[in-house]
Amino acid sequence: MYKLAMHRLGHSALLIFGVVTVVFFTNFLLGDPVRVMLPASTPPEAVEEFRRQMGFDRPILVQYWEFITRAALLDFGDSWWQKSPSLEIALRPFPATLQLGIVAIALASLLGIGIGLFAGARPGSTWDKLATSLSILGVSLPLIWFTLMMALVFSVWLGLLPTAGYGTAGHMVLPVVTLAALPLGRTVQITRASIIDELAKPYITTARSKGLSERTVILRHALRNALPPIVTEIGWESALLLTGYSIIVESVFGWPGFGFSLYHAILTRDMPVIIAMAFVAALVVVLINIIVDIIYVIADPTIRKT
Amino acid sequence: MNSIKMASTSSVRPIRSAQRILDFLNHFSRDKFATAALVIFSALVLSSVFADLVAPHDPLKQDLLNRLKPPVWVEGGSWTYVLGTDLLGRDILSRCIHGGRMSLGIGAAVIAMGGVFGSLMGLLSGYLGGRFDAILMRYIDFQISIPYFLLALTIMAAIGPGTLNLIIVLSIGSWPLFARYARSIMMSLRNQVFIEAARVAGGKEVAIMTRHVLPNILSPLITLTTLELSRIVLTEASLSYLGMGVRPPTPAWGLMVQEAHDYLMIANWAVTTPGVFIMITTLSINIFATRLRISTDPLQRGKH
Amino acid sequence: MAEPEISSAGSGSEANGAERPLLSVRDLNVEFTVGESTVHAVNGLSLDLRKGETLAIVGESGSGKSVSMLSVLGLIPQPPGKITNGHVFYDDKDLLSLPSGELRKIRGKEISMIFQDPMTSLNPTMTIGRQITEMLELHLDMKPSQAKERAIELLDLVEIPDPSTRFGQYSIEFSGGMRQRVMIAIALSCNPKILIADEPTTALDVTIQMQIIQVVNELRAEMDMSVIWITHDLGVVAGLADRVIVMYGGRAVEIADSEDLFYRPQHPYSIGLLNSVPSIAEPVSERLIAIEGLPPDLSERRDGCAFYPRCALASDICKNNTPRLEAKGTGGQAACFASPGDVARLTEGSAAQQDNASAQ
Repeated sequence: MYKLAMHRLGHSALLIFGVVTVVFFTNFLLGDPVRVMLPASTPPEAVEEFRRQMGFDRPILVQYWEFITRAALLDFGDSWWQKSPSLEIALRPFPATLQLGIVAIALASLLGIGIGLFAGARPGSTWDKLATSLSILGVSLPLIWFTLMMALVFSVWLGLLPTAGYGTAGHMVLPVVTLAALPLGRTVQITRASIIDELAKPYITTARSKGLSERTVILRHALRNALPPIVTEIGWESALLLTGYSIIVESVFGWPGFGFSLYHAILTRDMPVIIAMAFVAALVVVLINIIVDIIYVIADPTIRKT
Repeated sequence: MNSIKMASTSSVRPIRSAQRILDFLNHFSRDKFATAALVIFSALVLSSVFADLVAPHDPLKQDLLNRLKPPVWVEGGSWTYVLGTDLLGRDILSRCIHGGRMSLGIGAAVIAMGGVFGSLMGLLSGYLGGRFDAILMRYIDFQISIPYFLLALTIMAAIGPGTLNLIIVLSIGSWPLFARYARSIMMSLRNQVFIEAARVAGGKEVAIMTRHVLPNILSPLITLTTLELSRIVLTEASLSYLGMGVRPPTPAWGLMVQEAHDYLMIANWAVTTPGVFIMITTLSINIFATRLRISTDPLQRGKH
Repeated sequence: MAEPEISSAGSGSEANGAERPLLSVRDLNVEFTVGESTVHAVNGLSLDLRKGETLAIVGESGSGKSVSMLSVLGLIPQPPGKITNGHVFYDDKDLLSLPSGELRKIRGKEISMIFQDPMTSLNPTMTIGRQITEMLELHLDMKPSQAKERAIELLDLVEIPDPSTRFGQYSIEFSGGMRQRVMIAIALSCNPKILIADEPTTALDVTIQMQIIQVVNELRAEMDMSVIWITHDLGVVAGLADRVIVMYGGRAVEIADSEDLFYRPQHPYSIGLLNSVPSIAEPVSERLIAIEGLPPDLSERRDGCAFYPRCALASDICKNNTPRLEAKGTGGQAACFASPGDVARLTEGSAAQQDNASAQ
C-alpha cells in the first residue's frame, strides 16, 4: 500500500514535470516569442535589444534551467500582456470551471452508472437496446456542433435559456448539459460492460443462491466489484472535461472559466500563462488520479491489506 | 514424431481462420444496424475519394450574389445549392463533401502513421519483452495519462495551424493506444500452441509473425482503428474549430462550423450541415465498431 | 440407511409405503442457446431426494448434473439457458413455476448450495462475516448484533479457528479449504432442509477434500439435513452417499444404492466410471482404464442411447431407441437394453483387465 502510494506520487511528479517541459519547449523552440510580443513593424535592432533584455538570446537549455528552477517554486513569470503573475491568471478562472465541471461530472456519473446498471442487469432487453443506442449517440456527438445546436434550440428558438454569460443557474444549464453528454455516454457503456462481466462471476451465483433479491445482488454485491473500470473511466473523462471540453463549451457560452481563459491565452500567445495553465491542468489530472485511487481503496478494501 | 504432429496443427490453422471469417461475415450481414452503418460509412469514404466528381460545385468558388442561401426545403432555397450556401456564397454540400475528404484523409493519414508505428512497436514490445518492453510501457503509461486535447492545442498554437502539423500532432497522440493494444494481443498469443508449433516446425520469426500472428489480431485491431478514427475526426474538428487545425479557405467540417458560428441566428444551416456530416461519420463508425466487437467475440453474442 | 426394495425415482409412481420424498424432480429439460446452436443440457431428468439421505449425482463434465441442480433453484442464467419442461416439487410447491419472490424465500433458507470453486464463489470485497450475516438478517430477521454472534458460532461450527477475528476478514485471507468451510457456514446458516453441494471438493487438495466431506457429513447428521452431492469422482462418493444417480448426456442412466452401484453396476457407463476410479487399496502401478471415445455432442438431439457410440455392449436397438430407466432386479434402475448377464460379464471382464494391467 505504502509502496503503491509512493509509486503513484513519483508518477504524478513526472507527469507534471513532463507536461510543463513539453509545453515550454514547443512554445520556445518552435515559436519565436519575440515575434509574437512585438509589432511586425519593429526595427530589427530594437527586436535584438528586446530579445537580450528578455534573455531570449541565451541558449535554450539555460533558459529552460532558469524556467524550471523558478517553476519548482511555483513562479512561472509574469503574463506578457497583463502585468501579474501567470500562475495567478491561470488559477483565477478555475473556480468558475469547477462550478460547471462538478455539476456535469456528478450528473454524468450518477445518471451514467444508473442507466448502465439498469441496462447491464437486463442485457438484450428493449431498455438495454435503448440505453446502448443513446450511449453510442452520446459518444458520437461532435461537441462543437452540439453546443451550438443546444444554444440554437433552447436559447434562440425556444428562448428558454440565456445564450451566454455567467451568473444565474439558468446560465449553467446549457454548458452543464453539453459538457455532460459525452462522459455520460462513456459512463453508460463502461458501466454496462463492467456489470455484465461481474454478473457472470461465480460469487454472484452464490449471492443469488442465498435468496437475495436481484436488486440487492447488483447493488450490494456486483456494483462494488464492477466499480474500478467505471471509476477509472469517470476520472479520465473528468480530466478531459475540465481541461479539454471546457475550452470549447466555455468559448461558445462565454463562460469565464479555465477553458475560456486558456483559449484566450493561446490566441494572444501569452506563453507564461499557457505554461502556467498547462501546469494547472496537469495538477488537476494528478488530483483526479488521487481521488480515483482513494475510491479504489474504498471499493476494494483488500487493497489496503496487500 | 512430436514435431510432425505439432506442425500439422499449425497448417490446419488457416483453414479454421477462413471458416471463422465466413462465420463472421454470415453473422455480420444479418445485423441490419451494422450493415447500414457500414454502407453509410463506405458512401462517405467513396464521396471523399471521388469528391471532385461527386461535388456539384467548386468548394472554393465564391458567389457573393448568392450568399447565405438556405437549403432547398426552406423557402428561398433552390436546387442549385441543395444544402444552401455560406457567407461567401460557397456551396455547402460541395464543401461538406470536400470537408469529408479532409477529415477522413487526415484520419487515414494519422492512422497510417500512428497506427502502423504504434502497432509495430507494440508487436515488437510484446514479442521481444525484456527491457525494451518495460521502457516502452512506462512511456506509454505516462503519455496516456496526459490530457491530450490541451497539449495538442498548445502544440498546434506553437507550431502553427496547418494540415501537416495537424497530422503529426494527432499521430503522436494516437500511436501509444495502438502499441498497447497490439502488445496485449501479442502477449496473449505468443505462448499459444500454434505459434510454438510453427517455431518447432522451423518457421522464421518474421514468417511466424505475418502468417500466424497477424490474422489473429486483425479483428480487434479493426475495432480499435475505427474507434480511433472517430476520435481523430472529432479532435480534428475541435482543433479546426478553434483555429488550430486546418487553415482556411480549405473546406473542413470543424472549420466550416467555426466560420458560420457568428451567423448561427440568420443562417443556422451553415452550422448544422457540417455538424451533421461529422455526426453521421462518428455515429456510423461507432455503430460499426460496437457491432463488430459483438460479431467477432462469440461470448458477446449471447448478450445481445 | 439402505432401503433395497424401494426404487421410486424415475418411475413417476410412488413406491410401496415409502415416505414422500423431500424433493422431486420430474422430467426436467434444460437447453442452452449459444449463437445459432442449441445445447440440450438436461433431457428428461427425474429424481427423488429422500429425507435425511445423501444422494450423489455422478457424471463427467457436460453430463448435465450441475445444470440440473442449478435449475432446481432457478440459478441458471436465462438467457442463454432455458428450462423447457419439467417440475421440481418441494413442500407441495413446484419450484419451477413459483413466482421469483417466493422462490427466493426458499433459496438459502430451505435449500442451500455450495459451489465448486471456493476461490471465486465468495465476494472478494465483502467481509466473510457480512456474507453470512446478510443471510441471517434476510431469512431469520435477525438484528445485526444477533446475526454477528450467530455467524461467529457458525464459523466455529465448520471448525474455522479464531472465528471472531476471521469474521472481519476477506476471502483472499483464507486458504482454499477454509474458503469452502466459509461457504458451508453460509449455506447452513439458516438450517436448510436440503444442501446441494456442486463439486465442492474438486478444486481442493485430497487431504482437504476429506476434511470438507467430513464436515458436511457431521453437520448433515447434526442438522437433520438432506444432501445432494454433485461430483465427477466416484471415489468421493464411496464413503458419503446413500444412493447414487449416474448421469450421461443429460439423462439419468443408473440409479442405485451406493453399495449396489459399486458392486453390481447395471449400466455399461457406470462400469466404465468405476474402472476409472483409482483405488487406494491397489498398488500405485495399477493402470486406470479410461472410457474410450468422446462425451456426446448435445447440440443435436438424436434418437437412441447417448452412450451408444462408446458402449461395449451396443447393439442395433440402442442406435434408434432411447432406453428408459427400469428396475434391474438388484434394487437399482438402469437405462440399458443389454441383458443383465452381458452387463455382469462386462463387469467381470473389465475387472480382469484391470487386474492384468496391475499385474504388469
